[in-house]
Amino acid sequence: MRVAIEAHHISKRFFLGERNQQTFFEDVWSSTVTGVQRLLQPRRLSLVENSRRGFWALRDVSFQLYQGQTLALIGENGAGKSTLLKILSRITQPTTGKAKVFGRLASLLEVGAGFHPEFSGRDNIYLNGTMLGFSKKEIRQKFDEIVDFSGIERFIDVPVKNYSSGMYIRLAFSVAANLSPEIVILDEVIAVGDAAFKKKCFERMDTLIKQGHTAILVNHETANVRRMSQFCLWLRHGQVKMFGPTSEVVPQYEQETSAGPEDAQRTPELAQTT
Amino acid sequence: MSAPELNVARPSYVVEPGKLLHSHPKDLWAYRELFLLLVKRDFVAAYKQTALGPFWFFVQPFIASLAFLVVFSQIARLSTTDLPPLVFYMSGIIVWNFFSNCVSQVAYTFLLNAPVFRKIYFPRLIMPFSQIGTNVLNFIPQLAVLFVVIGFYEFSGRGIDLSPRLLVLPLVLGLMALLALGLGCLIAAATVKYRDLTIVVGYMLNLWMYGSLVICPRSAVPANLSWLVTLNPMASFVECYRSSLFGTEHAQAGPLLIAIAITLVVATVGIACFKRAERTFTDTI
Repeated sequence: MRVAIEAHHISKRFFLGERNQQTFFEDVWSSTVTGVQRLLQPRRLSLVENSRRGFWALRDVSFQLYQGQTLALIGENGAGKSTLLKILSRITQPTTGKAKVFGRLASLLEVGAGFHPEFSGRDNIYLNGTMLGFSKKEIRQKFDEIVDFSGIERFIDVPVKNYSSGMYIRLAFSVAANLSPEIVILDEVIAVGDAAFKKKCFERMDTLIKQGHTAILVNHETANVRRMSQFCLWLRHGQVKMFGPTSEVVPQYEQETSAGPEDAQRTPELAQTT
Repeated sequence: MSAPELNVARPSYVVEPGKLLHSHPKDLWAYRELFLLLVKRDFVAAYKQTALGPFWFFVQPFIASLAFLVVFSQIARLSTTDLPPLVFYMSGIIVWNFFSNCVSQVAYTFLLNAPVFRKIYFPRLIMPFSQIGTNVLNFIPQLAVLFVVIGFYEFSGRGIDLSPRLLVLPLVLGLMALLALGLGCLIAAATVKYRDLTIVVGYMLNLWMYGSLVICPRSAVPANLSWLVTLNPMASFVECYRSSLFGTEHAQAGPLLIAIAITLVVATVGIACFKRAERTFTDTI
């Protein structure tokens, strides 16, 4: 089997509101102050720098995914799932560590990113497709499939700003899903549209997987995770809690999230805010 | 459809900290079709849902030239060499607009495209390049209008000399575009940290025009300010551009070499800063 994605000890640190929140003059002032401090007390400064409030969104995440395998990322909100997807799809860089990606990767982190409202569905299929790294020729070959799948043939020459949000999402999904990249990354976008379209999306994902495409999914519903993916990467507070076949990881995960102490604390809070 | 076949001896890409993963020349070439679609998008989108549509190409330089005609030629009595003032101003205005639109649009790259940049990877430099491309497309019809105006003067017997020097024109425009790209990229990189910089840029571009021989020839610049014009690359380029069109002014070699040197430095530094910014901006904007 051939490797599709190799992730070695990926970590990502964010600085919380510390940089890039100041005006130019504040920056000049604070860098002068630290400069003077550095001159006066070179020792103490290293302490100051170390204590800068960094937030590790990911810590030492490693995994390997072979071609044709499907990986589900599970974990509670803020566990680092989206950050990991962003690193793999070159949106942001890791702070340390390294990932190797073999093959063309198309990520659907958000449906319809890069659509232009003034343009027709037709033009946007080409625009979005080329942004995802496909050639016009490839898009032309798949054009009918994309339109068929989205079910908006009648409106394909209407500017997308006049689309309903459902139509918009359907078109966006079908662009990425039908262009069939070797590796697909999906961040919960499958949970869009009405029941019928959702079903269609799942079927489409199933065929992609059957055809040997590699996929990484983020999904909160364990039923879907079981059905669609062979492997699971369970993240907690940015660290790998468990990595292995779905049949091993999901039961543990379910057990912990349904009875875990953290969850018990969390539920009333959620009930209030929603 | 069949299963994707792959030659996976080497990774398609490697994600690593500190590595310039974006905008390799090879990568840019791979996305050339996106470049063309973006140029088309911006060119067409600018005139959707507007009253005059593409007529703005023609109306805008006329109005601005007439205003300059009244203020600088009639009231301030500035020289326009041997050229009719209308031709002098119009040629200056369209080329200055080309340059300043390039700079200000490229400067907005990160601010305007942040939502897309956060969701889809493609070489970010495609965006500045496509802005320059769109502005080249916008410039061509304006140049055509200028030629029509020149033709009108020819017809009425006040001849303006069009010559083979015209071949220099694309070269000068290319240099202007390169300067604009570099400067715009530099500002775009800085907007990641200071978002209001684009406002300052608007003012600076307005002021800059007055020192760039758009409203008067070099001969009309007071002696104590001539060093400013010498060091201003745009002044040399505008002069060179007019001399390629009309042959009335002669670009001086010294200032032109300074201008080319500045352009190359600005472009190199600007693109380097842009590449640096594109690595980190998703975490900061």
